[in-house]
Amino acid sequence: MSKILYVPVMLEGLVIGKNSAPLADLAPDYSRISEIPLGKYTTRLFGTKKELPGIHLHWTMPDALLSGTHTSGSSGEIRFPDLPNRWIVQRLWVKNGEIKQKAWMIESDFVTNHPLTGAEQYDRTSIPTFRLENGLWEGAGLDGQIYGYLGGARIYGTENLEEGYYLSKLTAVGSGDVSFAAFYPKSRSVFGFYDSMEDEESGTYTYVLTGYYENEEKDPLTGADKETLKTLAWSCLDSGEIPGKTVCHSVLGQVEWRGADQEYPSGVPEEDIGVYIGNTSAEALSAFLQKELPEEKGLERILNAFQNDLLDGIENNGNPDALIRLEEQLHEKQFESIGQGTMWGLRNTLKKTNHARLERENYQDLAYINQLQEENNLSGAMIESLKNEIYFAWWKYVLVESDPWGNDRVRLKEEHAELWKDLETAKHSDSGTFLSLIRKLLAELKKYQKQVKENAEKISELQKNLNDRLQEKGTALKEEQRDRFYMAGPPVLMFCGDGVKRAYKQGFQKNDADGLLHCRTNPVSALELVIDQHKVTMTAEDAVGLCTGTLKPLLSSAADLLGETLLLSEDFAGCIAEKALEMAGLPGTPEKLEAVANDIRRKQREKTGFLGSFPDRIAVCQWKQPWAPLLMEWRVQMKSARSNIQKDDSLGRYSLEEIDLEMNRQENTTSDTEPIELCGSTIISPHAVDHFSHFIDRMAEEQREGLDYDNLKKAADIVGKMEILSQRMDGFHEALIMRDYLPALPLYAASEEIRPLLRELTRILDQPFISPRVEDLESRFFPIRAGFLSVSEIWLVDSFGQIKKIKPDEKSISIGENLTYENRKGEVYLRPRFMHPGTVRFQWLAARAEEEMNLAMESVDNGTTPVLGFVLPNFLDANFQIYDYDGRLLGFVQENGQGAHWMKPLPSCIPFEEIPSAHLRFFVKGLLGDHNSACRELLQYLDRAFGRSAPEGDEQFFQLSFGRPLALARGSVQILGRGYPPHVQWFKEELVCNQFDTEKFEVRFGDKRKLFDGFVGFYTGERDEKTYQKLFVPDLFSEPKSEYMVRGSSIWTSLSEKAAELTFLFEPSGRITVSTGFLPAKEVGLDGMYYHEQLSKSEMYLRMAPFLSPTDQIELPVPGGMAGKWFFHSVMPEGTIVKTEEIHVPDVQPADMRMQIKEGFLSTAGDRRNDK
Amino acid sequence: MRSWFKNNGMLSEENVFCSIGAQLSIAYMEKDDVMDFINGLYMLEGVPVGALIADGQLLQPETLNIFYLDYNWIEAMVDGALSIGRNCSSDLMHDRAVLPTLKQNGRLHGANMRSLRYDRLSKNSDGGKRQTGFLLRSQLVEGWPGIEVSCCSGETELNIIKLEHIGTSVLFCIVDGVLDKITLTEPVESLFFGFEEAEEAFVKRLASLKEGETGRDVNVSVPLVFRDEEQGLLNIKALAGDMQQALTEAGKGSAYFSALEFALQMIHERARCTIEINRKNSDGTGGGVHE
Repeated sequence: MSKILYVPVMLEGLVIGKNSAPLADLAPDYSRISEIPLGKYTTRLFGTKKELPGIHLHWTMPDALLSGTHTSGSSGEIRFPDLPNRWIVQRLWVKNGEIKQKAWMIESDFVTNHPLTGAEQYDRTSIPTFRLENGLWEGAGLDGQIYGYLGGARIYGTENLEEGYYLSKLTAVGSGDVSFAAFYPKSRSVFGFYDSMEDEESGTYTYVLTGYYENEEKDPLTGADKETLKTLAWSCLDSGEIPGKTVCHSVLGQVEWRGADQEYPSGVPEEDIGVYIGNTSAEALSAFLQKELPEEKGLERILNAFQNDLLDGIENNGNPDALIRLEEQLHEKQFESIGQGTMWGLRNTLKKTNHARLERENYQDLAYINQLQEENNLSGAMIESLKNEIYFAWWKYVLVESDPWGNDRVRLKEEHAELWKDLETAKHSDSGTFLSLIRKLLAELKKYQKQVKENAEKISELQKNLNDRLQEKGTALKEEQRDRFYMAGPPVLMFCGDGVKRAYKQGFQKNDADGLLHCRTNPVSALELVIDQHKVTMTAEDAVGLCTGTLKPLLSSAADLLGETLLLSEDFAGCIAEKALEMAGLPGTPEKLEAVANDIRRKQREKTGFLGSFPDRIAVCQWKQPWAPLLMEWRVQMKSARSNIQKDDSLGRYSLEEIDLEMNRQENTTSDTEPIELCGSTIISPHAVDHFSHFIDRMAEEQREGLDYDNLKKAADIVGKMEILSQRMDGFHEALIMRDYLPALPLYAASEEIRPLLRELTRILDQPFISPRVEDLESRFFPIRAGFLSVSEIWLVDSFGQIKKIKPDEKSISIGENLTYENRKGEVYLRPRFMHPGTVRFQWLAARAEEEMNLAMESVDNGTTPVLGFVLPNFLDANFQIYDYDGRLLGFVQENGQGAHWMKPLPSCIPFEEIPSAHLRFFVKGLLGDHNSACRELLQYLDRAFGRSAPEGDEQFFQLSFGRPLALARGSVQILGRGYPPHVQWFKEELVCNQFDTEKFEVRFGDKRKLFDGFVGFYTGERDEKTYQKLFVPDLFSEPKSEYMVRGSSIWTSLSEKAAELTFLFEPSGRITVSTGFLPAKEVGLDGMYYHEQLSKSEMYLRMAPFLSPTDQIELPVPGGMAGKWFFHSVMPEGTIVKTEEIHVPDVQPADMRMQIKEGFLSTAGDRRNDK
Repeated sequence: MRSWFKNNGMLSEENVFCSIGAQLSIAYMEKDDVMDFINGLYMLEGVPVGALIADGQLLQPETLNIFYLDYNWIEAMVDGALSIGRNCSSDLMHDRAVLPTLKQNGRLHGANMRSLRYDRLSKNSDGGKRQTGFLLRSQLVEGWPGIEVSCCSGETELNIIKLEHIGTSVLFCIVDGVLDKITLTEPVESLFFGFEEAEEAFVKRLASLKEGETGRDVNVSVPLVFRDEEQGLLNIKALAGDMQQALTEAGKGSAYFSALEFALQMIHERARCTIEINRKNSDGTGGGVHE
C-alpha cells in the first residue's frame, strides 16, 4: 500500500445568523439556461443573496493544484490538474464531558438534477452540462438536461441514493471560471460545506477536513518520484520514501455557534479604503506613493519608469532624447499589444555587406508574395472577428427564438423590457433575420478561409521558386514580424489601506525557508504522559475511541487525522486527561483531572511528548470570521466626449500634443453629455505590490551588500506586504462597444430545423466568444473612448461573498497623473482611444522599382531602395547639390537672390530634364525658377531646422566636411484597424458602427523636441509637379513669402482610408517619429543599406575660393582619416573645369616659386568611412 | 500623458546659447588635442609657409623681415578652423556665444606655450600685448642652428613666445611686445677658450668672480704668459696667478681660484650682433635698421 502524503490546506468558516448581511450573488445560476441557453442570464452584478444561517466552510486547494499548464500544439489549451473529489468533514464538540462527532461525505464531482444537497438541504453549485455528439452540443445531464448541480454532502456512512453521475474531470476552474474553486458561492457544494447547526445548541466546535482522490489514477502522487514532489513544490520532511497517495487535510477549531437568531460579527473590516486609479497597476501604485510623499515632485513618473523597468532611460547614456523616449515608452505601456502576422524580406546568405541587385522579376515575385501574405495577415484577423460576429448573430437568434413572452417568463421580460420594446413594436426582426445574417457572415468567413488557403499555397509555391533563383545571388527569403497592433487597456482600480486586509491564501502557502509546502507522512499518532510516575501512552486510536456519533468507521486517514486533532486540540484536553487517568488506573478526581488536562495543554503548546510530525501552520486554523477579498464589482458613470450620436465626433474635441491627445481647453467648459452607467466584476490581486517588491529586490541584489542592500531588502519586504489590491476594470472597454464578458456556453439549440447549420457553426466556433450587449440605443455605443469617468460604487467581495461597499468621493479617490485633468477633481480623464486594435503601418516604398516597374512595393534591399535622391544644402554658397539614389552627382540648384537655376558645373552633371527619377525631377523643378523663392526659403528653413536637431550617425566626418545631406524617399502611412470593426448591437440586421471608422484624426511626422529627429518635411500627392510645390514642415521660423513652405507636418486620415503615400525629406541617419496620440508613437528610420555606402562613395564637392597655391600645382591642406582620395577641380578664368588628380600638401620650406590665387571644387571619391 | 518636455524649449535660440555660453566655454577649456591645436594656431603653428609668405620673392636670402602679428588675420584663421562642422545659423549662434572666451583663452595659452614648454612660468604673457616678430633668412641660421635671440623694447627685454626654424635657413620669431632691438648671439654650445690680440701682444680680459656679479666684464686685462711662445704653450700656473692677482686688486676676486675659476676666465666671449630698429616717425621721416 502506498504511503500517504498529508498535504495541508486552508479551511475557513463563516458563521451566519438570520440577521447577518446578505452576500454577493455572483455565482452563475445555470438553471436559467433552460429558458435561454445564453450565459447572460446566469449572473447579475451588484446583486445580493441572503445566505442560510449556520456555519459555512470553504477550503483552499494547494497552490500546485491550482495552476494550469499550456498544452503543446497549436490549440494553446491550458490544462489544470485534477483536484481531490472526496472530502470528509467532521464536526467535533464536547457535550456533557463526551466528545461528540458528526461527519459528512462530500462527493465533489457528483452531478445530479437535484438543486439541494442530501444533507443540510442547501443549494448546490450549478453547472452547464454539455457534451459534443455528432458535431453538436447536446445535454449531457440526466434526461439530457443542459445544466446540472455539482457536489453535495450527505451524512457520512449513508448511501448516495440520488440519481446522477460523476464528472470525468474536476479542476479549479470548473466549467471555465478562474474563481470557481476560490469563491465559495461558486463552489459551495464542491469545495465548501454548509452546516445548518439546526440540531445543535450553542457551543464551540471543531471541524476536521480530509480530502482524497477516489480514483488513484488522478492522484498526482500515483507513481510519483522525487521530481514529482519538486514540481508540486511539496516537501516530505519526515520520510525518505516517496509517498504514492495524496490526502489533503485541515482543522478549524474554536468555531463559536450561539444559535441562528443571534448576532454574529461580520468579517468585513471597518477601516477605510483609499481608491487609486491609473492606466495600469503600476501607475495606480505610483499615484499612491506620490500622494504619500507629496514633497517629492515628479516621483510618480519616476516610479512608473521603475516599475516598467525603464529606469535606465533616465540616465541618458549619451542619448539626449532619452527622457523623451522614456515618456514614449511609458505611454506605450498603457497599451496592450497583439502580434499580427509576418512579412518576407531578403537575407544575405554570403558574408558580404550587400547581396547583388536582383532582377526585376525577383522583386516582382517578392512583392507579390508579400501582397498575398499581407492579405492573409489581415484575413486572419478578419476570420477571428467574423467568428465573433457569427456568435453575436447566433446569440441574438437564440434570444429571439426563445420567445421570452411565452409562458410565465416574467422575470426575463422585466429585465429586458427595454430591449424588446423596439422589436415588439417595429416588428423588424425575427429569428430568421439572424439566421440569414449568420449565413451571410458564414459565407464571408468561408471566403476569407478559402482565400487564406489559396494564398498560403501560392506563397509556398512562389517561395520555392524564388528561393531557388535567389540562392544563386547569395540571398534567401527571411520571415519578419509585422507591426504589432495596440489597444488601450481599461483603467485600473487599486485599493489601499487598513480596510483592505489582504488574505494570504492562493500563492502564499509555501514556507519562507525553502519555498515548499510542508507535507508529512506520519501525523501525530500518540501522546506520552507521566501521571504520578505512571507512564501513559495515549494513541490517536485511543482518542478516536472517545468519540461517539459516526455511523460507520471512518476511512483510516480520516480517523488518523481525527485522532491527531483530538490529541493536539486544547478543546479536548479534558476528555483526553480523563482517559489517560483511566489508562493509568488512577482515580479521576476533579483536581487530578484538571492537573493532567493542564499538563496536556502545556505539551500541546510546547509540542513535546508527541509521536509523529506536527501539521503545517496553514492546516491548523483558529476560527475567526474570515475576510479574504477576492473580487470587485465596479459601477462607473461615463461622460463621453461625443456630442453626435449618429456619427462619432469625439476626436474633434481633442488636439494632438507632444505625446497624446489632449482636450481643447474651451471644451472643458462646455456642458457634459448625459452620463451612462456601466458596471462589471473581476478578480483582484496583490500583483501591483508583488511586482514593485520584485523590482526593489532585484535592485538590492544588484547592490550585493552594504547599507543600501539591507535597506532595499527591508523596503522590498515592506512593499510586498502592503495592504494593496488592484485590478483593471475588465469588461469596461467591451461594455463601451456593447459587448459583455459572460460565462461561456457552447452553441445549443433544441430546434431540429437548424441542426445542419448549427453543426457547421459548432465546428467553426470552437472556442468561447464574447457576448453582445444587445441594446437598441446607439447612444450606448462608444467606439472611441473619450471623456470623463467617475467611479460611483465599488464592492469588494471576499471569498465567501461578504461585501465591503465603497462609495468613493473626491477625498477618498486619487487619480494618477496620466488620468487627471486640471480642475476635474475625482474624475478620470479618458483621452481618446479607439476600442479597436490599431497600428501605425509605415512602409518605405521602392522608389527605384517604381520608376522601372510602375509597381508600388515595399523596400526590401538596395535594389528596391526607397531613396529618390540625396540633397546636400550648402548655406554658404546658397545651393543644393542633387544626387541620385546611388550617390551620383546630378547637378546643383543654385540660388541667386532672385530665384534659382540648375547648375551643372562639373562634367558628371546632367540637365535637370534628364534626371531619371520623376519624383526627384519634380522636386528639383519645384525649387527652380527666376522668381521662385522656394529654394531660398527651403535653405533658410533648413538653416534654422538644423539648429534643432543633430541626428547621430556614422557620417560625422562627412557632415564636418560637407554638411548634412538629406534623403528624399517615398513612404506610405496607414493607421490600420484590426479585424471587423465594432458596431452597434441591436435587433436589426444592419451593423452600424456610427462612422467611427471615418472619423478623421491627425498623424504627425517628426518630433521637434528630439535632437536625433531627422525629419524635415514631406510632400504629399501623386507623381507630378504639383506634389512638389508644397513642402509640409513641422514649424515655420518666419512667415514665408511663397506658398512653398506650409506649416504643419501632419496628415489627416481615418481608419477607413487607404495608405497615404508621401515623399519625405529627412536626414537619413536620423529617425522620424510618427505620432497619433491614441497609439504609441512609432520611430521609423532608413536602413543603413539605403544610404551608408551611397553617401560614403559618392563624389562630394566642396567649393574652395579663393586660396593661394603655386601656379603649376594645387597645394591644399586636406583632411586625413579617410581611405578615399581627394581631387581638385579648378575653375579656369574662361569657365572651364580642369581636374587635378594630385593635391600637394603645403611645404614647410619657403620656396621661391610663384603663387597664384585659385578657386574651384575640392572633391572626394572612394569610401570615406573605413580609415580610422 | 502630458510630456514634461514641451515643444520649442530646446537649444534653439541665440539667448539660450548666450545664457549657457559661460558654462560651455569652461567645458571647452579642458585641455585636449583640439584646444592644443587652436592654441597653436595663435602662434601660427601648423600654418603652411605659403600662407605666411605669399610669395618666395618676399623673403630673399640674407634678409631680415620684421612684422606685427595682425590678430584680425589670426582670428580669421581660427574662425576658419572652427568653422568645420558649422553647418547652420544655430551653430554660428553657438560659436558666437562660446568662441570669445575660447579665443581669449587660445590667445593666452598660445602665447604661453613656449613658456610652459620650458617651465618658465615667471615670464608668463598676459596675451594682451601687441605681438611682433621677425623672419630671418640667412646662412647664419643654417650655420648656427642654436643661435640665441633676445629682443628688447627700449631697455626691456621682451618675452619670446615663439622661436622656430622654418626649413634650414629661416628663423621665425614672435615676441610679446613691440620690439625695437634684436640681439643675435653665437650659440652657447660652441664655447671655447680664447683671448684677444692687443698691440702685438695677447691679452685676456677678465670676468668678475665677485659673488653676485660673477661673469661680468671688469675691464681688466692680463697678458698671457707662455712657457714656449713659439710652440704656443702657456704657462698656466703663472697665468692663473696673474689673473687672481689682477682680480683681487680690482676688488673682483674670490676666495678661491681653482681650475673652475680659471676656465671661466679663459672662455672666449661669444660673437653677438645687435640690430636696432628705428620706426618711422608719424610724419614719415626716419626709420631703418642699424647694426
